[in-house]
Amino acid sequence: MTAREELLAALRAARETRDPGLPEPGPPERAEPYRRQLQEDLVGHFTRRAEELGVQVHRIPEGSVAAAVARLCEGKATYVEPALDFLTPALRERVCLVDWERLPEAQVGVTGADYGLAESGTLVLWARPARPRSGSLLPPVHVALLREDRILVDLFDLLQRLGTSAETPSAPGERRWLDVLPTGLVLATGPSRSADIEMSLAVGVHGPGTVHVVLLPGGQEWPGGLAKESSARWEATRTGGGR
Amino acid sequence: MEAGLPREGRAGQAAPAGFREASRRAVQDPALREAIRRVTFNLGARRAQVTGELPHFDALREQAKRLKEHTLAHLDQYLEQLEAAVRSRGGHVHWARDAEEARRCVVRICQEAGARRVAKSKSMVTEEVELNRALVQAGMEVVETDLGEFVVQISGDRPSHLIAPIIHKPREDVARLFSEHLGTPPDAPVPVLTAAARAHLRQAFLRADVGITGANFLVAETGTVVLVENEGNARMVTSLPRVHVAVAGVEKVVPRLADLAVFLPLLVRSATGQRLSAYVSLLTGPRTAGELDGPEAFHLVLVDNGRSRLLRDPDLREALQCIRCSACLNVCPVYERAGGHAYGSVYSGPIGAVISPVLAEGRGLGDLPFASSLCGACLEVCPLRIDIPRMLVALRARAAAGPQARWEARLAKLTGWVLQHPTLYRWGSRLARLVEPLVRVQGRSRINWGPLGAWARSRDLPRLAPHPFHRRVRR
Repeated sequence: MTAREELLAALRAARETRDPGLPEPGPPERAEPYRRQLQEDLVGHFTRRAEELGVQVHRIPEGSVAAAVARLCEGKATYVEPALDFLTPALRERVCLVDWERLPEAQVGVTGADYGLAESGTLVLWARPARPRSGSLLPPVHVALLREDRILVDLFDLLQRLGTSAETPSAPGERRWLDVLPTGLVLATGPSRSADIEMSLAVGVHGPGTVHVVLLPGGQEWPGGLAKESSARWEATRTGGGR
Repeated sequence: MEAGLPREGRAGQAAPAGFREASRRAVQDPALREAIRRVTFNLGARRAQVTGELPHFDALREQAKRLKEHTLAHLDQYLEQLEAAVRSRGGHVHWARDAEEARRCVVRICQEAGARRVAKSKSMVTEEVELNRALVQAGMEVVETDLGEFVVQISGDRPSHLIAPIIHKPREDVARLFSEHLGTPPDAPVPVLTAAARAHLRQAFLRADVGITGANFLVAETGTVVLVENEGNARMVTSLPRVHVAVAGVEKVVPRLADLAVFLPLLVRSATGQRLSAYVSLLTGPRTAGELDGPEAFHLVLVDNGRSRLLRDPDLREALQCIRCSACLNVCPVYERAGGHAYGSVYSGPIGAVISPVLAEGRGLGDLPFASSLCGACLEVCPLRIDIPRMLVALRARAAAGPQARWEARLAKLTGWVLQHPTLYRWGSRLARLVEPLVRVQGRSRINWGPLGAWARSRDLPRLAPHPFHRRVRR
């Protein structure tokens, strides 16, 4: 018998008789007042919670994205992810842009964020060809662009939106959730930190020690990874194929 | 200061000195006690604050309990679903019945990938199966990249806490180590030490062929590995090397992606008192066409190593619900005084006292169930409400079937017999007053050998009243 069969047989033999059944996914009822409170001011909560962790949140007026980003990267070796290519012409004059091969030398990484979570001040980063994982990881400073209308309440909100069950029969022509889940989805909350040595907090241990979030006004189209593109794939699977 | 603790006492190697002996030495180290108290107090206070802010925290606990009970009731099915999902995303799944198989499996994956350099992020299960030793023997260069685990590795030490592996080490020790290994000043402050580790380990990330991680959760429906961390090293080892190997105990599986919204807040808030840890990675299969980074190959190694034994045991299977948050360590009066090393296992504290004797069966950890005052603080803080005291009592009951217990039973019988015979009792109490000055020294028993000595060592021996109660009553 192979290890797999033997191990599964051992677990099958030990199957617990007590099974309360699989609970419905989603937040407990008692969480509603708390979640409603977050829902009422998503941007405010996101900002406060992120700032508590040392993240610098910048709200900018319409259209001045490039200027805001340039201010944060001025004079520094800066990597801009492919999804944000539209920024590079404006940035080129004021910052020293480095390409993918030289990412390990970059002092700043500029990326989009696909979602924000108000409850914890979290950035949700969805890996894809135009948004490599390392862009927000290797440089000591991370500048993230986030649309205000992409701030969700909490993990329940995010995962329920994402989590159309793989078991759900898909409508003809629809792709299953399993097929669209990115290879890497990162929830980033505040700067990289460690308290391993005598509980004294040190930031920037391996990931970025400084994080800026540039909040873009919602309700309008933004190019690149800031458009609805990032989630269009799973939104398509939800309509019709979803729960 | 860990010099006084037994280094050989690692689960899986030589038998440990035993909890009694190791803890006796640990409690005599005031610096160690102070260091542990600082960490456990800090983590405990923060936990209380952020769990208190959620009015539905207990509702989440109930939900999580149900999810775990359900999943463990169908563990084989969820593992098969997980396997199918990982495969459909182009990953490979391997099964290991024990530590030896797990080691061989990971070594083989590394060899087949032609790997020379391995970067690891913090993982308890790879400590449990002692993976590093096997990789080094196979000629690989292995680097632990979690700051605490890195210190553990370069000092040849052992982790002493589930999530804060070097809480037993004062800053001065770390500074000394880093000055030897990384060339920092011998009295460097923490930010300098951190920066030196960052620079040193960055090269390890960039050069590694294989990245090895554990898993905090495995999602059955999507084949997703979930990693919870604060430093970013787990992100590094799953983004840069061309192969990612995740090693996980079979109990880590959860049914659905959406269930993470229940488990992650419970884990993070209970563990470090954060609302969410700095990084949570949801990793599903190797990189796809066009992606610039992420591993080209993904392997998941599912490890039993005693877990099916726990599952088969009606008294102890509840222990498999543990999500390794370490909240029980931080409230345990025994852990606070004895420290993690005294447990002689990678899993210390109350939950370690339950699972270690079973996972490391026959390796002399049989006295761990007695490493508790049964105060119940662990049950109270456990996000899964795992009834650790109940399980400790069950394990003690089993130990009580041993030879020492027969001796205790005879002693109890003898005492009962004496108590039923007043004359004998009177003579006995007279005798006790005669020998008292010989036995009692500074309020302690002079007998410090044999089974009686073990019992008496940690107890006061109060002075007998000059006149026994029954005589005063009669007067």
